Amino acid sequence: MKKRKRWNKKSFFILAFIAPAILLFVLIYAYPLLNIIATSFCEWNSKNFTAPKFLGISHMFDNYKKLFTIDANFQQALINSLKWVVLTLVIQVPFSVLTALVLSKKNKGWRFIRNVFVIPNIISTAAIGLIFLNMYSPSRGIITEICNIISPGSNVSVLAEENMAFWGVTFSFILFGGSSCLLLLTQIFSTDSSIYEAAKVDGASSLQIDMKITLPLLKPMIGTVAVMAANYGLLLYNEIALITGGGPDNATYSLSYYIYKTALGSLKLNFARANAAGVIQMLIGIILVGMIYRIFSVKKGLEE
Amino acid sequence: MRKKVKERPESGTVLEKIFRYFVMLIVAFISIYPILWVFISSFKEKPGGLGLPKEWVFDGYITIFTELDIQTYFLNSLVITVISTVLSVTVVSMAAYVVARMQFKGKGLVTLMFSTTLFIPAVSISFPIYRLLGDLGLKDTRLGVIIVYSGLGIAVTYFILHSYFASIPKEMEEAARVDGCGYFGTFFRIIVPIAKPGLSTAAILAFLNNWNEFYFASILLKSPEKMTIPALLGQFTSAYSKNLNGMFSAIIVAVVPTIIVFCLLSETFVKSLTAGAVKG
Repeated sequence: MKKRKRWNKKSFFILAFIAPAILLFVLIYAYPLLNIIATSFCEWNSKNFTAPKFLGISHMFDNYKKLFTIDANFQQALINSLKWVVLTLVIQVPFSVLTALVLSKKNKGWRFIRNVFVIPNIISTAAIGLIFLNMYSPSRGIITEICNIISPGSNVSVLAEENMAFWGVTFSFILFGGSSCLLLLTQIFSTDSSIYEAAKVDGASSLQIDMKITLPLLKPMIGTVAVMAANYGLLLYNEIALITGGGPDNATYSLSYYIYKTALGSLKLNFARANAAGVIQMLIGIILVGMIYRIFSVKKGLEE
Repeated sequence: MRKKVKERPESGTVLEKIFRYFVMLIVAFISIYPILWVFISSFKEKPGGLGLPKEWVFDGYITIFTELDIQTYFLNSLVITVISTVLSVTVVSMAAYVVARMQFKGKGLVTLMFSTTLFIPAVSISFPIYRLLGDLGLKDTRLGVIIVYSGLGIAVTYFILHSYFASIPKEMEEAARVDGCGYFGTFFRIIVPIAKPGLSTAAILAFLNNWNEFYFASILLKSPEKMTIPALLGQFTSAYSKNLNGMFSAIIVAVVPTIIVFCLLSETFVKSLTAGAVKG
């Protein structure tokens, strides 16, 4: 009898302690997630704002079909987002790894450089976006001025031309791998230093040590960093909203920016289609994580 | 143990050293130059371009403190960030503690639920959240943003705290229980003080993310007097772009507090950033 009472007290405690977090989870993640999945199979736009209507079994994938067949903005957004994923993997990740390897040698000033590298990651991306918007401006920026010094009269306007605008957005984030570098460095420093001592005794050069010992040991952490970077590329929004607004001529749309525009930010709203794009974005993210973890054979699961 | 190793540079050929300093120089340049450029430009009569100001003017800084009233936005940011950080760390720490320390049905499910949030992109679910807050009458309110921020980072906070609680010796609680401390008392009076380093790691990370959050702030907050600093910066692309001095000064004023705090507490920050990212 007494034991039962105590058990009740304990289960009340467990419930009381878990309930608030579950409530937040339901409110911010579970309900919205189920909502976008369900409404992605509906007809739901500015005409029937209050009542989404199920498309019917035979037409239930119409929103998805339309995204891939008639929605040029979505297709552009998808291509761009995938490009940004690839670019983070081939530019940001190797750059962070290189920097981490360099800093791990602890040459004078390494700690300062490590901290400086983190600064662009800890200040608001809204500020970063505004800074690059100004740097790219032909009237007050520096890119146009520098190009005019190299080739007088070229009057480059980064954000006016589609291809250049894409690279403009790309360079507003792609080199800022400070937090990744931090993680890699921590990992390098936590490996047993006797391995390095032994290699040095055997006469290995520091390049050999980096290539043959450090990098292989670093592989799982590179995988983690790659997942984070790829995710950033896939979800890119702030830089686009602040620098190009998706332009010129929708050339710099990303999936996130497409979703925002389609659900909230334009005159021709189509909530169902935005939500379908959201589901696709999420699926791509899951596939990417799976692929990268497989490539880097990261054994450590997310829930350790 | 690492601390004992003396910090001496690894040997290397001259060529290697030159290469290393070259990389370090590039890293420093790309990280500092954009901010430095805005800083220098903010003192120019006509902001922008290369070179130093011919004449140093402070008009921009005066305008943003007098006309733009940037203090209001700082206060909004501070209120929203502090409350949402405290709220999410408190709520999540309670859940993480129970899962880390007690046996009950559905334990694995709780962890699984929080893990799935790592795969749900915030923008893709923003429309239902936007509508939900509208239905609750919380659109364009600071409370609405606070609720969203409290929920957004639950996964990372959860994993940091879960592993921290799991590392605390069980004897601590047993002793407290023997002394007649209830479950609630044990948590708040025994566990929380011990877990302070873990809690502060999680809190710093949550604070940083909430302080910088732009997307939800920009779609949820429409009245200027409620906006946070990032939302205000978003306005500069359209509304205030005529006042260039104001814009350049506002960027500097917006980023300098973060940079100063980071310089003062860099080691603590480094710990938070690595703890959060390992799990994220």
